[in-house]
Amino acid sequence: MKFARSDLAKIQTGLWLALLMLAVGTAVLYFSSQAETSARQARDLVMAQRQEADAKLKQVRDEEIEIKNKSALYARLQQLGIIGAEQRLEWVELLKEIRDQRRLPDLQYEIAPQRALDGKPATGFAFYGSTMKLDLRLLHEEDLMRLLADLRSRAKALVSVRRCDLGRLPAGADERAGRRANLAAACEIDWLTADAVHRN
Amino acid sequence: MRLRRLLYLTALQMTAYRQQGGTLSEEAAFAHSDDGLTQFASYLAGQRRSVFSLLANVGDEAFHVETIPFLRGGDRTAIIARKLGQLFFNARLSTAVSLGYEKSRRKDERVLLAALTNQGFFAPWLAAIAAAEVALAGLYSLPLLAPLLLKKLGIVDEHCLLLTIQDQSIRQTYLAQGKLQFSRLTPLHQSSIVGMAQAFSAEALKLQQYLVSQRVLGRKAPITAYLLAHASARPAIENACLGSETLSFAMLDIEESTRQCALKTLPQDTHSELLFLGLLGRDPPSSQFADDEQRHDYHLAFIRSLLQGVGAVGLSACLLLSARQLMEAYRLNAEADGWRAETTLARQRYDAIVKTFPPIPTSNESLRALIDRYSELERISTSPDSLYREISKALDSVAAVELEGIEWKGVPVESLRSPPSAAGAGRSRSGAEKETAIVRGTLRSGSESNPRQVLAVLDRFLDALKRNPALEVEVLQQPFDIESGKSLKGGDAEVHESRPRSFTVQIRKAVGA
Repeated sequence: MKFARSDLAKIQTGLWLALLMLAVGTAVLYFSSQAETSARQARDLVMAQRQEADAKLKQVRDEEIEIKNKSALYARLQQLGIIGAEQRLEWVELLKEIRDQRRLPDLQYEIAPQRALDGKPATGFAFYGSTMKLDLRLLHEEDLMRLLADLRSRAKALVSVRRCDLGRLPAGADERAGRRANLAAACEIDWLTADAVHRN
Repeated sequence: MRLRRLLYLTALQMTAYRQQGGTLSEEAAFAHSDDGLTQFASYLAGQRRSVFSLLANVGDEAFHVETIPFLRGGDRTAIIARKLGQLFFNARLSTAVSLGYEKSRRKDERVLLAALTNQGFFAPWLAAIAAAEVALAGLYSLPLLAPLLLKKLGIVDEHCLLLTIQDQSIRQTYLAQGKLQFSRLTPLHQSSIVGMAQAFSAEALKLQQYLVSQRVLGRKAPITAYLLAHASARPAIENACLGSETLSFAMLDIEESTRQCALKTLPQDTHSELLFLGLLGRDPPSSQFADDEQRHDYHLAFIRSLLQGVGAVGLSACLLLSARQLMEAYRLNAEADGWRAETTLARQRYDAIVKTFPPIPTSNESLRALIDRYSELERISTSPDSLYREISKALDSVAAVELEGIEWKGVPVESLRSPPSAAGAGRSRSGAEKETAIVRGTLRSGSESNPRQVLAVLDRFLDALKRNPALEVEVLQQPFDIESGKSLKGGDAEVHESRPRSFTVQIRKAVGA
């Protein structure tokens, strides 16, 4: 068959129709492909969310008792004053009260400025410590034990003793002459508290 | 969708048939005259989208069996064209039908060369078709369909004759091994059944004698003449067609034959035009008489169909693929809906569990970090009373030891600088933290005591401490410097021996032990 230029006009309808059909088919295919891709991405996203929710659910089930216990402990710590702002006035009053109750002849203290223990986290809670230097005279070493026990049980903070030097007073000391004190103690005690981190 | 139309051309007229669903219906007939040609042109103008096949039944037909070398492709086409030119001079309507290959070493091919020799008869009709630019699929003659008919009827004789009646003529075709060898057309003078039966008998005999004279058939070679006729003509044919020693007759019921050919339009009489037209419409032979120029519009129509077919196939494939993708998208959406519902359920369960927790002004993670850190700090928040009691117990058993002072050191809270999330790391160090007490004291000894006895007193004190395996006891200062690396002084003075001897002992204990 010989194909002349004039024959092109005779087949152009078929040619355009074929191209139109192919274009329509390609467009439909493109949109369906997009639909499938979108559906697949949405399915994958939902699956990931489902796995995350499952993991959280499993975790919360596993840790339900733990979290309940910790919540109770949190409430107790809050009640004890360990969580919250420092209550230095309460501490001072407690020291005076113990001194009077235990009849300690002499009790000197110096509480240093508060410092953060672990730096300041972005969220949650931070622990703070205030170191107190304590100098006191004792009739008996048991007085020191009672003082420390009173502090640990009644202080509105977590009390941690860093160091404690206990020694006999010299034979000629005034306190000794008055039979009021035999021992001298010098201690360093940390008052530890935790407080929520507030973002500026 | 292009309609197929069949044209049947005889010496008298052109008849147009429409083929639809396997059924033939006559649309128009045009006389072989100027008026007829004008009407034919008008008819064609209204059928521009149809594909036509032209079946001719004319007497001006020539057949010649030729042997050509074993060739393929262009060489074969060229030699056949040359042979056709030599045999039929300027006959434009010619064709070649392969009759098979000889079983010699050369494997020469036997070819039936055929031509419609009356070009002038066909010219106006073909000109009208060309002018209308309608697609002419091919120009066929009735004998070209004879092998197909016998094949469909299951007739495989070595040599046979096929006699058929159409319009006002009787066609006699000779076939060998199912292949067309020769055919001729004779006018039918009597159209009555008896006349047709007599014509069958006479023309079969004449053709047999002609073939014998041409030495195509042996003088004594038997041959069967198949007569295609209506059942109503059977008695007349059986009366008229009496076989001889070399020529026998077999009648083919035209209705039954049409059914065997799976054609729907049944002939009502012995005329076989519809049967051949049906065969042509259903299964056109590969050989035909029109040349490329006459079939040009058909080729263009074929290209158009091909393009549209390609487009349709492409569109169908795209639609199928799209349907599959949309089904998959639907399935994925349904799956996602299921997952989404389960996620919502899991979140609701989570919220329900969390609601049972006591109210806290922070998240679970922060709470966990806070409490873990607190526990760590509480664990190392020691007091000296534990070590004081250990020392006191040891002193009870050794009265000669008198304490001067105790320097106790706990574990500084800064030593546990673990961030909340690293609580585990803090725990891993548990047990490494130790509280320390440095005990300073003197040993009271009598005037009779010697260094060995003084050291024995210290040893008893140390042994008393070491009874608790949790304590690590180390002497920092002995009452006597008996180590080899130090100088040792002494004398006879008793007062010097009896003075209290100082010592220093370090006691360490793991926190919580």
